Amino acid sequence: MRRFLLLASLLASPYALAATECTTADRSTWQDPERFQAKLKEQGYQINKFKVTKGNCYEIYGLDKDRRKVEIYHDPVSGTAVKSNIED
Amino acid sequence: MHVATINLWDPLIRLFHLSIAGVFVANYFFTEPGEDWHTWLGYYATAWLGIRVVWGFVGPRSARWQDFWPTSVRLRAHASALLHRRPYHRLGHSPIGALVMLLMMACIGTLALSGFAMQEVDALWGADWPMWIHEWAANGLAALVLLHVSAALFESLRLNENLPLSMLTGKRRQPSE
Repeated sequence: MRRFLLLASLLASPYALAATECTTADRSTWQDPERFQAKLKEQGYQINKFKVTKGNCYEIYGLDKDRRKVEIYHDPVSGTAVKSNIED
Repeated sequence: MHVATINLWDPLIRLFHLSIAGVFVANYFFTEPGEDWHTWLGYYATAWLGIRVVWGFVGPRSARWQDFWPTSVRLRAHASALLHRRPYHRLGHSPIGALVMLLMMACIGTLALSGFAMQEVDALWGADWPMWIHEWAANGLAALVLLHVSAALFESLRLNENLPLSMLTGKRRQPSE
């Protein structure tokens, strides 16, 4: 029964342990999403998809300047990359 | 007290089960979608799924599709035994258990296809719909896993036999006729 409850409580919170956290700062301090994306494009990125994640990240799917597929989680305050997944 | 046991589950079946269960726990709870680990574990599970499908045609009796394929006749017999609280004991997968197993395999196949689509197909990089399918299949699989684990515990209590352990060791108690 205890095992069952443990499993049930875990199932109630999928991905809870996995999500990348980027900031705890108040949303009013976050960069403007449009300007943030425009800046990335200036740096040579192509953005296929922009998302605000549950872990308070600006996440983009796109191509970097070398045309590699990238998924990058950014801190929405500083704009720096917190985590990158690069598909070669 | 000496209890006669038989080797019911062959090593490949047990390794398949352990691998799939391990990848499910790892990828549902711990690894992050899009991460290398998540992807490689997914490929590992997919390879096992392929092996298991073939094994169902060439493996020993308890591994064969033919032995446990949940036909409507078998499902009805099992359901009526459950409803009337009659014992339903067979050395192999039960019909409803096998149905849940097939649904879990279908979810894993869907996860494999949608995962491949979102990760490897350039035109779908960042697209939402493969991610939605992937998420739905993952949550569907989680619900089935919960059902599967509950049923294994329930039947273990009813039969007074540790069924999850039997899937690890391969041994089942010889029914006393």
